Amino acid sequence: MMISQETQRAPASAPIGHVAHNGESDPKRDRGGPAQPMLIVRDLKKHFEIGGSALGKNKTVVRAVDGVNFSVAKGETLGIVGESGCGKSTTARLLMHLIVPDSGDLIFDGEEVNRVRGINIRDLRQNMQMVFQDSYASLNPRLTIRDSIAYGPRVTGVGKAEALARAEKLLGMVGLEPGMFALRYPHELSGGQRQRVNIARALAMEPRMLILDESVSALDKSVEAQVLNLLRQLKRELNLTYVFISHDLNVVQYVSDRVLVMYLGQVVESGPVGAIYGGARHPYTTALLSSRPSMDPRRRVKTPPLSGDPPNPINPPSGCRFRTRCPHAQARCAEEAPVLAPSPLDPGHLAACHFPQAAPAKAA
Amino acid sequence: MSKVRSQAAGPLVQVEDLSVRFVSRDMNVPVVNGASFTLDQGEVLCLLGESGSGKSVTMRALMRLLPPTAQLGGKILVDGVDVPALPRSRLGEIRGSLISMIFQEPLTALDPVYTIGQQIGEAVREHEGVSQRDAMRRALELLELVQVPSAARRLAAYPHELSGGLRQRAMIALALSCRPKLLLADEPTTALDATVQIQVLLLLRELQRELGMATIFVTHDLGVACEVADKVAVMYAGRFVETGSIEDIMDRPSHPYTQGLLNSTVSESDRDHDLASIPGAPPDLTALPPGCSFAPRCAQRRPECDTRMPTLAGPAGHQSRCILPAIRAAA
Repeated sequence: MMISQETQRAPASAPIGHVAHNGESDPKRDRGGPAQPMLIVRDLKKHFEIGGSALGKNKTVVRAVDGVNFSVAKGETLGIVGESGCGKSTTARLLMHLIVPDSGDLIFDGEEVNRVRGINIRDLRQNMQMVFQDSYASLNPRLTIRDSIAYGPRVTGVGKAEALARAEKLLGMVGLEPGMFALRYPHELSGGQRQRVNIARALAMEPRMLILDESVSALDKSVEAQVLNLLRQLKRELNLTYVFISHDLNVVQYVSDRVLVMYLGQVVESGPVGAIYGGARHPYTTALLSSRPSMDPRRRVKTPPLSGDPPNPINPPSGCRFRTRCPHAQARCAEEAPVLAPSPLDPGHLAACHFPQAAPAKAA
Repeated sequence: MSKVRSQAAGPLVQVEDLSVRFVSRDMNVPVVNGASFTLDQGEVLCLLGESGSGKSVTMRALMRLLPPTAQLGGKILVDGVDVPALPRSRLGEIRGSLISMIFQEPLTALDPVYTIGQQIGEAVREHEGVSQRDAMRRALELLELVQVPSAARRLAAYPHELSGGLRQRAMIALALSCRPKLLLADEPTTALDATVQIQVLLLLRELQRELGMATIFVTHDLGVACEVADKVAVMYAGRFVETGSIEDIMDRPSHPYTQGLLNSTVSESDRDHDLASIPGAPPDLTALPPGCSFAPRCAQRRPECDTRMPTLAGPAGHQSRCILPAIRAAA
C-alpha cells in the first residue's frame, strides 16, 4: 500500500502525471484491472438517533441510508437521483467516510476500505475526492485559491514549489488563467469560477474518482452548462470515474451512464440511463420523470403525478416505503418489503417493486 | 381603500421605464435600467433571467419592497394606483389587498411563533375588519382552497410542523387571503422537490385562472415558465432583452442571449455532445459596457454592437433588444 503510494509520487516533474496521454490509466495505480469495479458498496447503513431523554427513552431513529448496494465501474458516471431526505447526500458522505457507516462494506478497486488488509481512509481519500454544492462555504476564505488547491498536496508530502506549480497547472485545466486568478481570494470570484476552483482542488490529490454532490445545482443555467462541459472534458482527459448526485433529472440524464433512484434511504431502481429514462419499472421513477416540466407550453402537465410530500424518514411506512404514494399499491406492499430484482429482459436493470411496470424499453 | 384607487380602464399593471439604483456612500449600482410592460387582468407574465439580472428587484419595486438605499425611477401604475408616489405610511393599503407576494423560502417568510391559522386570520382581520371567528373560518376556507389535506388540523400547526410543500401552500393561502388583484411570485417552487414543485405549479395555475388574478412570476427555469406563463420577459443585466408570448420565446427565440439560455438548458437530445454554453459571465452592473450588455459574450457580435445599446424592436407581440433581426430582414 505505502509502497505503491511512494512509486506514484516519484515522478515529481510531472504533476497530474498519473494518466498517460492517451487517456488510459496507469497500471501501477489501477490495481484491480479493468474488470474490477472502482467501487462496490454492500448493504451500507446509517441510522441517526434523534431526540429522547438522557436515559435513552423515546429515542427515534432516522434511517437515512438503509441497506444500499451498488457498484461503480471504472470510467463510468453513476448518477444518483431522489428527492430531499432520500439519503443521497448521506450516501456520498458515507462513501468518503466523512460520516462513519453503521454497517456495510466499501470496496475500492478490490480493496476493502478501513480493514486490516484493505485500503486505509487516508489513502482512500487520495483516490476519491468530493465537490460540494456550496462553492463558497467549501473554500477557506483566508487562503488564495492557489494555496487552497496546493493545500492537499502539501499536507500529503509534496514540496511547496511543486504543489504550487501543480495548483497553477490545475487552474489552467479548469479554465482559469493562472496569471489572473492564482492569487485571488474566494470572494473575488463568481459562483461558477469558485466551483471550478473546487474541482481543481479535488483534482490536486490526483484522485481516480470524484463524488459530485449537487455540484452544479447552485449555478445559473448558462454557467451550469459550462461546468458540465468542463466535467466531461476532465473525465475524458484524466480517465476519471464519477458519482454524480443531483435532484435535476435532466442533468443526470445528460452526464450519467447508469442511474440509481433512491427513495427514503433505499435504492428503488437502478440501471443504464436509457433503460431508466426510456422504460422505468418502478412507479416512483415513473412519477419522478413525469414531474419534470414539459418544456413545451402547448403540452403542459395536466395532473401532478404524485400528491403530497415524501414521508418522513423517521417512521417510514412498513413494507414498500413508496406504497403510501403509489397508485398501484396492494395489500402485499404493506406486508412485505420488495427486494431489488433484475428485469427478466435486462439483468442490469433492477427495480424494488412487487408489481414492476413492464414498460416498453425504448432505445436510449 | 377607495381613496387610493381611481378606477382606471386599460391594463391592470402599467410599468414605464422603471429603473432601480442601489445608492450608498460608496456605491451606485444600476440594477434595473428601464423596464416597461403592461399586464392585463388574468394574465401571467414570467420574468426570466439569471441571478443578478434584476428580475426580483423589478418585481419587488411593484410593491415597494426594497431597502431604503434603493432609488426608484419611472412610472408604476397598478389598478390606477401610482405606487412610487404613495407615502410609506399608506403602503399597507395596497400590500396584501391589491398586490400580494409569495416568496421562495416559506420557512423564512412565515412567522415561526404563530400558527398558520393565526397568521392568515390576522391578515384577514386587518384588511377586512371581520371578527376573529369569521377570520378563522376564512382561513380554513383558504387552506382548503390551496388543497391542504386535513385543513382544520393544519390551521393550528406552526410552520416548522409542516412539510416544505404544505408550507408553500400555506404561504399561498396567506397571499390570497385578501383577494389581491395582482399576485407576485418570486421563485415559489425553486426550493421544492420535483414531485412537489409540479403540484404547486399546477395549483398556482388553477387558482390564478379561477380567481382571475394577474400574476408576475419570477423564475430562472425555462421549464417552470413553460408550465405557467402567458407572456415572458427575458432579463439580462437589468434590461428586458426579449419579450413575447411563451410560444414565441420557446419556438422562435430572437435574442442571442435567449437562444443561449435555451441551448444551455439540458435536454434529452444533448447526451452525446458538449452543451452549447454561453461563454463568460454576466457583466459587472457597476461597469456595464457602453453598447449592448450582452455583446462581450455574444457569438454573433458585430462592431456596431459595442457603440450603442439597441432598443427593443420588432412586432408588438414579440420584441428583441438586438440589431441582428433587423439586419437579417433587410438582407
